[in-house]
Amino acid sequence: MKRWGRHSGMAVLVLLVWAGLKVPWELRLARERSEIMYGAELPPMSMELRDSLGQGMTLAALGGFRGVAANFLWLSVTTAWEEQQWTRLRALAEMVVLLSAEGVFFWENAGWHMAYNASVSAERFSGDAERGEGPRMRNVESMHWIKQGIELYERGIRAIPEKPKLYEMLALLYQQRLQDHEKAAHYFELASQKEGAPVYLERFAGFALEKAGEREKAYAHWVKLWQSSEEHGPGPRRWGMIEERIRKLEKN
Amino acid sequence: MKSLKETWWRIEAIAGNTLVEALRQRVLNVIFLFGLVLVLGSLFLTSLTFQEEFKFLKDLGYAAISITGTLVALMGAAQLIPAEIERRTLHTLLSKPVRRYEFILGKYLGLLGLITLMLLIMSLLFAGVLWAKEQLGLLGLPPAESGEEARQMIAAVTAQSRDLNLLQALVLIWAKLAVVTAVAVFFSTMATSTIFIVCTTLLVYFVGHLQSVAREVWLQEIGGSSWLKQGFLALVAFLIPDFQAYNLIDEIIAGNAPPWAGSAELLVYSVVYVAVLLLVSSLVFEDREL
Repeated sequence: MKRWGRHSGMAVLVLLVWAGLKVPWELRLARERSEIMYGAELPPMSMELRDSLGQGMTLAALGGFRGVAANFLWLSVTTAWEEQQWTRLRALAEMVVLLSAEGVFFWENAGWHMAYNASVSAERFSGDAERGEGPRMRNVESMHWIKQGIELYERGIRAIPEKPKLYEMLALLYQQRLQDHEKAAHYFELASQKEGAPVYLERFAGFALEKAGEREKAYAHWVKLWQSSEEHGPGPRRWGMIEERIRKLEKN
Repeated sequence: MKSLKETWWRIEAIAGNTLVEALRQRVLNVIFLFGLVLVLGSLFLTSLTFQEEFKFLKDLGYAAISITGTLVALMGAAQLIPAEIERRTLHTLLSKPVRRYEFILGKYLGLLGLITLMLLIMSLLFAGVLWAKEQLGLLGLPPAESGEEARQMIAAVTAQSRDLNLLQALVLIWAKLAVVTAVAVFFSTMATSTIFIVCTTLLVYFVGHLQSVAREVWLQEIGGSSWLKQGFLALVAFLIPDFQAYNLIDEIIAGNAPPWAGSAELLVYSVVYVAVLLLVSSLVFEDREL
């Protein structure tokens, strides 16, 4: 009987030795991947997510095409937006960001749908006006969607802490939807410190501090900006504007 | 030293022959053509989406490259080795001073050569698609001379299309395909049925994307659940490659820049995995009755 001879025994031995080596190696690779992709350890694909996805999507995700699955699910998010089905949109967006946590685009737009589109829609239409519960219900519901937006942006920041976009979006949310200029300034400041951040963000932080009534902090911010460079010629950093803010705050 | 050289010549000859033979295979050419159409089609599919077309374009393009490569690896390995046994050309080959492990290595390298060639062609085509998309994107923008804002917008578009990290993703796709090919070659040393080889390799491919889940559950439940469940999970963790590790590709496509060191380690993991699989395949093939 040659079929399972000496060589096959050696093959089994090689596989056993390799099995003992590969598991610790794969564990380390998985840990490093999780840190790069999610900033923390997350399961690669939770059972709940698999239950929520259709068969085709699950197959695509399991075949290593999570990005493609996320893209096609995002088309459903857009449809839900057009039909103003906010709860469905939230559930779909959750699946998309779980499938593709590395994409700023999905976090950014999912948060925007919640904090702007869904919350403004709630402000206008929710509650039964005849029963006198309109304004109260509208505020409660609108705030619910804004909180959903904040939650998405905060989770997105934890997943992709190195990109400025989500800090900027969170700052704009605090500024435009909640008029919380202090928090907005904080996130503009954080965004401006990230690599590749647009230069206007450092000015936005100063303006937000002024709006928050933090004159001393705003003055310190503008002076720090001015002192961050010795060249104050024309350019994207708009030194003229910074100088104007410093003078104005010095006058008052 | 001389015998090593001779061994390499023989492997090289088998690899070259395998590559030529594979290029003549109609099935593989049809799959390749399908891949090219998919890559080109990704340019048009993106118009379905609302925003950030580049991400969608890159996702679809890379998925097309990956799917085509996987199909070629599967069909190539499933057809080429069993065909040699069935046509009895293997007997003629092995009656010459050709060792069985040289035959396996030669077949594998020939297939890998084919996959590398297809990957290169599809990558070049995809680079062209990205360039076309970039030009289309730039058409609607004001010229760079009109101010800083225009320059920033142009830079944002070109940063998406001329991202050198995309090469890193291609290297990882290639490494993953090299492992899939080795798995298919391993099964082809044990079976003669094309369907069996394709099905088992596909099974390993899909389970490989869940292997990390099985491993985590096994490690969490050691001593806690039934021995049957633990035994099954341990078997999956020990025997199946962790294809989830290659998900770094998604990170790169999303425009993030994971360190090259991580990809390099993954490349080393793939090379070691391929070496182990080829060694095991050669040992199994040694015992096989032809």
